[in-house]
Amino acid sequence: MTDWATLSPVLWLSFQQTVYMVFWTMLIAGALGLVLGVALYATRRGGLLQNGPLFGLLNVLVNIVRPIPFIIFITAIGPLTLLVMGTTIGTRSVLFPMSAMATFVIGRIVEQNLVSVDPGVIEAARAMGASRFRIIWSVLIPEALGPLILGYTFIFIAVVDMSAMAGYVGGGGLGDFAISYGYQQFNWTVTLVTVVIIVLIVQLAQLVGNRLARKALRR
Amino acid sequence: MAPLISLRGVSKAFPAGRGRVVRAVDGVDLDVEDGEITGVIGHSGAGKSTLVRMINALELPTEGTVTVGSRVTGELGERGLRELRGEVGMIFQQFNLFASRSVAGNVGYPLRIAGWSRERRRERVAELLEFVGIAEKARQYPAQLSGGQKQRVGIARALATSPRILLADEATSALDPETTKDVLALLKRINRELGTTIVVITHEMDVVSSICDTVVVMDRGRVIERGPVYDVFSAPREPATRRFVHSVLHDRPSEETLARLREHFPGRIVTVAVRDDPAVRTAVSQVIAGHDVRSTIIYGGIRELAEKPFGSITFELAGDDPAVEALIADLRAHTYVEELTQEAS
Repeated sequence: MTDWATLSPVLWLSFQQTVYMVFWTMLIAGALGLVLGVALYATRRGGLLQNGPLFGLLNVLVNIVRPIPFIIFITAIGPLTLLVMGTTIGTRSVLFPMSAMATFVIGRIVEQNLVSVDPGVIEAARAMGASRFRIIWSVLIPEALGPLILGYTFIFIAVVDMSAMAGYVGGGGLGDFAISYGYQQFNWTVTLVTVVIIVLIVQLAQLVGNRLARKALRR
Repeated sequence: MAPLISLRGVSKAFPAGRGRVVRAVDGVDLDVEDGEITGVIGHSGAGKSTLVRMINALELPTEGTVTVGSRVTGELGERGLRELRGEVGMIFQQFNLFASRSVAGNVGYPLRIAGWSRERRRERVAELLEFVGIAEKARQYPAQLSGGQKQRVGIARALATSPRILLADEATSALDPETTKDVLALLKRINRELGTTIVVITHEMDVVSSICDTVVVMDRGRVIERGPVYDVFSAPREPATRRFVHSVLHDRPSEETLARLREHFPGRIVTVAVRDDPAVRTAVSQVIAGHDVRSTIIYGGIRELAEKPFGSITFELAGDDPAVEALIADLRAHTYVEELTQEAS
């Protein structure tokens, strides 16, 4: 039988850890990824801030990091994590590899969404005498807002997925909980309950994302 | 008075890969007078868009100088370029409205750039929407509007900062004929009431014939002809202009039509230009009647251009060779005559 009296405080803590990791990763990587994505978009050939060498560097960097399986990335980036966070173990320190990886993924998604903005609209803004940075924040991002919200929703789910691997470095969270109290103790009920909770989080995120995107699209 | 826009020896080359360059605009000299509506025509790829984009410095010339008002675009820094662009409005074939902003938001955007206060912006936007006739659409979004309404928003937005110059890049090409007429009427009104100098790029003859004072014909990056609309169209000097005019007027038989006509009309076939001058037309009739040559009208097309008749009539001339020759020579003394000869092959 499952001893929920003992388990539920642990489950609650794991839930909070997951929320903590996902929240901060989304906040940090969301902002950095937006900057990276805009930089990728703007520095490409014919872009607003065309800069071949910078674009090449960023592009290669994203292409190198993105395909690395996250579980390997966490260990590979260990020395850097130690340097930045002071430790490689725990819920807080795992924010570093999570944010780093999510930044690159978000950067690429932001870039792709910006590319889909009609260049004619950018030209119209240029023809009105808007500065490049003004065009970026007052035309480009608002015009791509609908797809961007959907992109961030997609990333949110990927980050929840990432957070499950945080258990490997003592990060805790729902993934760790499911492994420690479910899988390793042959308790399928615990695993199932954890899965249901994760599915609910993801569903809620998708629902909110879709709503916001529809509102932003106005089409 | 100095022209408002002046291009001298202007070329624009784009890299086309493998070290080659494409000269989209090639050695153009052009003046646009203050208060005029100038039409730039030519087939696609003739360099019209590039030429016009050099006026608001969206493109800078690789050679030559573009002077707008008192500024030379190539000498301006980033800030100067932005100021210049703020003083030249532009409208587009695909309207290029901001989908994320309401109609009022679109029209107010250039005012925001120009640093207008919220209060002044609101007043100006209301005034502009009233002027273009879509005051009731202020709160709607572009996706909710028809093509004609979208272009009105585009026009209101382009006029927001009261520019002296308005550039229209194929502004009516995506609209149906009825809407085109309305939008052209609006452009004409802007020119008359606000004194805005307008440069329109188009491949549509109707646009030029209904609103333009001056027409500029471009072919392969060069300006091949320029002058008052009627003069250029009724007496095109360059073969490319002639081809363009006839391709939109359909007043001359195509080669296929000509081949079919020849089966029935074995005589010599000439096309006679019809102009505004009544005396010329009388003279043409008299010349034809005065020779011992049988003439048959086999093709033709006449329409109005700048409220003057304009087109051509194609005749078959049958008779003795010397008589036909004399008739053609007499006609040439009065108007433009071209013999449509059989193809060499």
